[in-house]
Amino acid sequence: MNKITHQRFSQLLDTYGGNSKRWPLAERAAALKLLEESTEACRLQQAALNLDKLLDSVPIAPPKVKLRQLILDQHYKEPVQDAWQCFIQWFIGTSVREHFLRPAFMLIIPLVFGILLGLNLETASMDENMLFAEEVNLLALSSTE
Amino acid sequence: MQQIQTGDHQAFVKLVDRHLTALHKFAQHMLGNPTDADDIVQETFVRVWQKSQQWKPQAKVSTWLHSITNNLCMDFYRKIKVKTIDITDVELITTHQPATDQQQQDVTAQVQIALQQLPENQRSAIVLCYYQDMTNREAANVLNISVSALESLMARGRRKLKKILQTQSDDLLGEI
Repeated sequence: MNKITHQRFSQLLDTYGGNSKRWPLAERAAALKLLEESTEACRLQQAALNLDKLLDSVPIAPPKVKLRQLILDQHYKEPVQDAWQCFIQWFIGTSVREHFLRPAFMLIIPLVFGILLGLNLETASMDENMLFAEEVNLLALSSTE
Repeated sequence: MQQIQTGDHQAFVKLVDRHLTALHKFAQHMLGNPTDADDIVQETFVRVWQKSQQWKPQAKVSTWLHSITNNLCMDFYRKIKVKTIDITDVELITTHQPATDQQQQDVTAQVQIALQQLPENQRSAIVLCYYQDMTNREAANVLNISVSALESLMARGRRKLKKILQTQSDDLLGEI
């Protein structure tokens, strides 16, 4: 059994506290031997035990029963992707065909929308011209008295 | 754990039953209150289920679970950017002990606050070895550091605790 110095013993207490059961196995026997022989070692251990006593006084609340149920209910759920991620995944597609068709489809949508909008605008302006002509005709036929 | 990797729900239930209390205790000591500990433990088990493939058979399950919880506690601290813990931030648990000795309750409160004042890595080291009864090697694995680095963290942590509590606890528990 190796001997342990007071300095190392003090380090052990600083690190693991005063309870010998917490000391590393490799040094425990030597540390206990020093305790038997040295009153200074005993004093150091008592000081460490006082701090341990304080640490032991911290109360801990047990987990609530509903926490267990919550964990078991929640873990089945797949992680929720946001809408943008879903769109990007759909846009990219999963096969070579989809890699081309889906972006092409997405480009066609604004094109078709633009054409439809253009056609509607033309019809609207024609309607406006016809209404104007009709108004002029009515004015021309009206009495000036 | 290998059964969980294959999607076995019953194995997951067993894992929760076996480790819930220990992880909750760990998170509570780390965060200072049971409410935040609930959230952290819940998130720990969600990650265990989702990332079970990352577990390697050579790793001890409890070590792996504690390292996930520890990382989540660290993230929690980074998120709320706790610089100093005020007495009002620590949810003192007084309902689970007899409220006969007001002085003893004060000491308990001081110890809880002192623990929260330690840097996170020192607190992790102390909580793992002292409260979770881990060996120094297991605790070092959880924190992904060497045993000597762990010992250094624990020694510094205990010295700091001693310093904080020294003036407050002399009357009750003598010299520390």
